[in-house]
Amino acid sequence: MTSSAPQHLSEEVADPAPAPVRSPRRSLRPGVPTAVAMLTTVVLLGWIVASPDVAQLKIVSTTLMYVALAGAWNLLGGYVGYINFGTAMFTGLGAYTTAILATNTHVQPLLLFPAAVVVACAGALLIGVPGFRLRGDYFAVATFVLTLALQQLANVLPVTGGAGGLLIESPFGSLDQSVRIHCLLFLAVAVLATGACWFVERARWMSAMVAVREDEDAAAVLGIPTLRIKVVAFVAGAAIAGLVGCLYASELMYIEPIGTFDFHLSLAVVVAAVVGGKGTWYGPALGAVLTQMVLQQLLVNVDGTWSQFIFGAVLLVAILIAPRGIAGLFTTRRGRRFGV
Amino acid sequence: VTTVAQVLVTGVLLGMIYTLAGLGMTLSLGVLRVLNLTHGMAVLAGIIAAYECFQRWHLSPIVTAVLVMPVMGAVGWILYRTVVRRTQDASPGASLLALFGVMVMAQSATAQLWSGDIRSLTAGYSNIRIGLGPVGVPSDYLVAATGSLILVLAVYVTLRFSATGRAVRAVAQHPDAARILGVDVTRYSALVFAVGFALAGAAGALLSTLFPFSVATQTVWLTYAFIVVLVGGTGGVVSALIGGLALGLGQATFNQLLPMTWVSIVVYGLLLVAMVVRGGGLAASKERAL
Repeated sequence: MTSSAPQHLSEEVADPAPAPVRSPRRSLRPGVPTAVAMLTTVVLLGWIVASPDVAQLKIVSTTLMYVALAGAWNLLGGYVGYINFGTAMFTGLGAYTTAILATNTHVQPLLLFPAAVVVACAGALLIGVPGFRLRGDYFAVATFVLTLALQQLANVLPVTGGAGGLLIESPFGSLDQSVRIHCLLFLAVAVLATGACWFVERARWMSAMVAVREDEDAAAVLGIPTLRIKVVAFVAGAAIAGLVGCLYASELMYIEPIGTFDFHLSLAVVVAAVVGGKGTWYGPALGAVLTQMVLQQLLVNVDGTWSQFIFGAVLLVAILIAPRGIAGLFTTRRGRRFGV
Repeated sequence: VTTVAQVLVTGVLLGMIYTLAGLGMTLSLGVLRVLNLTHGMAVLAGIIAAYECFQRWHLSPIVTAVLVMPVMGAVGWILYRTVVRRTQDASPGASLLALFGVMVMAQSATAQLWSGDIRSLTAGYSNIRIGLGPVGVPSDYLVAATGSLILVLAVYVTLRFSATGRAVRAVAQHPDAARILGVDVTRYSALVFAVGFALAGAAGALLSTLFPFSVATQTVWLTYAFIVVLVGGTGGVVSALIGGLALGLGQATFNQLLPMTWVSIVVYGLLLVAMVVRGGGLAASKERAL
């Protein structure tokens, strides 16, 4: 497996209705969750095209963004067991790449997504190769700290516009059009991310990833290339996050260091994945939808900082009561499908 | 030569303070194998206590440092009992995620109740320069460093020469073996976690006069403690001292060479270097002897 594997993977699952490409080794009854997910995707697709309400489209689009990011997080955090508190690093890298290129070349920002993905992947490689020499908890704190470092760097460098940020020209005529198109694109990325997890669970290297999660030393002894597995999962997640970053910059049209390398984004992603159930393909999507729905209610009723408090509390309670998340409630009953 | 001496002295003083600020994290990692993400908040709690006590009752931060230790110790003990103990042996990363949740809760609650403004504290003994030959030392650096040194030495002596210290070292070396030999592992774990909190709080109170602070700076202290652990390792007081001094000297040097905004970036860069250089050695189990 080379580092081009994630690209290979994403091509195969880019189809909104992911289908197994090579003959699977596990029994592959698509099952109820797959059917529900596909149905939801189709319904959402129709709704986005038809819905007249821009405000609701915006909420759905944000939710889909978190579905995508939680799925991307899940590749490393759920299957390989390395917690990443730095999702914002990669969305930030994607967003800044898009914004810098768009302001300098006046290309339509959405067309710059390959550059955003490449830069996010490069960032992930740069962090992953030395970073994965750190085990578990150390890696998590390193990602947390590096987010702050990147934020600081964006504050200082001239090319990022410093604290003032960057302004992108809107390529779309009306707000309605822009929101609708971005919502569709977020849906596509959400399907891509969830599909990637779906695919990984049915791929050969799923067992290797879980082996690394359960006991890294034992996995290494068995000849599993642990470093490569970790880096590939990390880079694949970063690629999706970079893609999200590109869409984010293109939709917001204005980015600045504090809001872009926002640690709260990383937090919301971790909470979504943990509450939904990390290590299952549908858990993070479920968690993202739930937490975003709760958050939208909170934003209406509660002051901003307290909503962070509640997010922290939700994470704590989820870990104490249901460490396997909502999806865990199903999988335990069905006999720990992927647990070792 | 004077500049070099000045940098060295400042670096060593800063290093002592960073050692104390990182010692709690070193201990909880070395003994419990728990990476305490709330450590930065514990330091910030000490800072806030010093600030509030000084504003209201004109208590010197030194007094506050002594007062804050039992309080923070109690907080740490409760946190261990309610959160850490329950998640410690669950799935990998569970305690980390739980503590992350606690950290976010504490940070947002503090921001809400205490406001996110940047403040600073000037105590009675600040702003006096004490001459040491050719170099001058700000008095509050000296006070904070001395206080840190005393506490660090106290921890060292306790760990090395007392029965409690021997029990803690046993737990660090091999919890199961310690349990078989009659050490109450849970009790000593709680003790270590509480002591870590107390030290962090004391460090916060001592350094409250040195740097401006706001709620957001808790991440800076978490980062510094993390760097201390990463550079020094989790081998107890001596390794915390190595990490702390390296960080202090490094920062003093860069303060001299670079504009302010770049210093923090360089510190983060050092973190990356430390990750690369020490990475292999950090495979937790190998580094657990105190």
